Amino acid sequence: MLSIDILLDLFSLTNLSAIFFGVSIGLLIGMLPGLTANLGVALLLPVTYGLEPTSALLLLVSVYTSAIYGGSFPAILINAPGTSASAATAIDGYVLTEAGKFNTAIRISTFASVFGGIISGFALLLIAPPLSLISLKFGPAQYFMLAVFGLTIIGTLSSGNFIKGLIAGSIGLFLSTIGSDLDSGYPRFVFGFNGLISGINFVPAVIGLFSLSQALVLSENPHKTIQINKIKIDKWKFLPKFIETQKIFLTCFISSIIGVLVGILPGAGGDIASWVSYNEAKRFSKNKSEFGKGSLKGIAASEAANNAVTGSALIPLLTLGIPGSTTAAILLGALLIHGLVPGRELFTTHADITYSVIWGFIFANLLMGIVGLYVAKYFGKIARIPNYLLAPSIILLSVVGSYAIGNNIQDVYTMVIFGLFGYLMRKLNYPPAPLILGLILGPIAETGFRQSQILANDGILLYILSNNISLILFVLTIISILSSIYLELTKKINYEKNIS
Amino acid sequence: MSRVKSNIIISLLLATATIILYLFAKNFPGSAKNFPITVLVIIFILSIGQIIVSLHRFKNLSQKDFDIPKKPLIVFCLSFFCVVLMEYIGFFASFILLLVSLFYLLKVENKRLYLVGTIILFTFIFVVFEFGLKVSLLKIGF
Repeated sequence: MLSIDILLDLFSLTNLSAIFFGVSIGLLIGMLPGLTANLGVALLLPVTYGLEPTSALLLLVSVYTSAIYGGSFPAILINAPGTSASAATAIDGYVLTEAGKFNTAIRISTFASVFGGIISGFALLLIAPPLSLISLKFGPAQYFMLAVFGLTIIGTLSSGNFIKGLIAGSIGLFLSTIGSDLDSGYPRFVFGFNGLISGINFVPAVIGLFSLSQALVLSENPHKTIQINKIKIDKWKFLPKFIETQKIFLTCFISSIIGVLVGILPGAGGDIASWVSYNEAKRFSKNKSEFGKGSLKGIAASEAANNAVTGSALIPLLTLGIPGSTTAAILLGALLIHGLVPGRELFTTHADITYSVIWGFIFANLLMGIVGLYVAKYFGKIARIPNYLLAPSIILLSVVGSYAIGNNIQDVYTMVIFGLFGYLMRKLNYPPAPLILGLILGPIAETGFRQSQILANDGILLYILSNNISLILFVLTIISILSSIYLELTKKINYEKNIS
Repeated sequence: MSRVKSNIIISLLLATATIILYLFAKNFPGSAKNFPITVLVIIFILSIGQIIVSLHRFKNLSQKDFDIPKKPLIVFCLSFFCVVLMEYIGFFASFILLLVSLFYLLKVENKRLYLVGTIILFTFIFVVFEFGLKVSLLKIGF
């Protein structure tokens, strides 16, 4: 798990630079309300083409974890969470800022985020290798059901309307069928466009869906500026006081465990983890009334949990190829670009890369705390960057990034079209994450589907259900759909009650 | 347009598109058609489901207006035009045109910040991609 070779590799100049750059960019993105970890990872994905797999993945995971932490800054200072995962942090963090305790709130949020991130890094280190053994038992039917389950759960959880989530996922699956058929070579849904014969490249699609569409959203309000009252900082303290640490230590630990468990579930992201942890911290607190009035435990619970999700969301990704979050779905693309297939091989053949990335992830969590505390003082200036500057910058980076994938202008067109598609999806309340997952998992699902068809004597469904693992996945898929229908019905009943 | 109405229109469009694509897919040879047809059938069923849900659920949502602002669509058109132009006049010239257009469209207040910001970004991108990643931006379109 940890050898001298891995340490030497991790602390090479290239890898350290990748982590530092990733942490800085991640913090910047997290600090700016409206920009997300998805956008950061999608924009930097093409930059990693020229890097070694280890450096590339270190850069991206550093952006991921730092962006989630960076989201706590605007939540605490201006009551506008930088990412949805920090929404619960704003409740107590902003109260502390109003009371002139911005530094205290940032110290607590930093300690908790680093704590949660490190715990999740160790969870990844301990849980992923044994779990990857399961992937050895996977055949065509299991891979097919795994793709279906992953899509169903992300589709149902990532949207307020589960049908829209499932439609988005299915459209992604359909888009993955465009291009030459792998068996017969027959061009499917090409309609005379030669550029479509090789299929839709998912990297420009990711950049368009998450980055260009965000630039279009920002251009709706180009003059939106953030009003920040002058922060009074007498003496900036970097480390939490011993008494503060003592007070929040148990909360951080429990919330990190909750975050790890939530992160392992595909589709359940940092926002769910932070709310669950916040509620649990409140429920078990002796002084419940302090929550909502600047509770240190409240900030710690939310921040430890949302950063604990970042590492554990990589567990199903690295072991089975099922992303635990939207950002992890983009990271799946990054793995495939660098020729790394999730599963047992990551922990055997490519163990040097995998363990370097996991240890690097733990180190990135430490580094983000140090860098974060230094830049927090200047947050006011960073957050004032107006949308009329951000939108063109994102467009420029998206165009150059998608061109860099293969020095091909067609990728830029793909990115632009998906950008508009992503914007319209946002406006129509269709989540883009299932679409991209469908596009990535499509070839795996189709291969599994077709091989199962060949192997099945009495029909494909019977073949799939004849195996224990695929049967479990089938049952989980049905439960996931039924629970979504139940939640929708409950929501409807509550809504009608409120109306009446 | 109300949210419910837009949901129904989009679902109808999706259902129609799946029928058309199904007609194409059924002519694919051998097993090449099986997976796309399965996916198209699923999309069709889900679209119909979405129409039914939109008709029967949250009737009060119909009061809520749904609107797509014009500005982002203009930004999209400008970006698309910039990509088309890249093939003819190169990366830098087309992007300068885009940035000038956005300057007027987005009614930039702080002109100095916009100018300095874009110059820094251009320089950063040029250095990273041209020297770091060996992506020749100068050769686009030439």
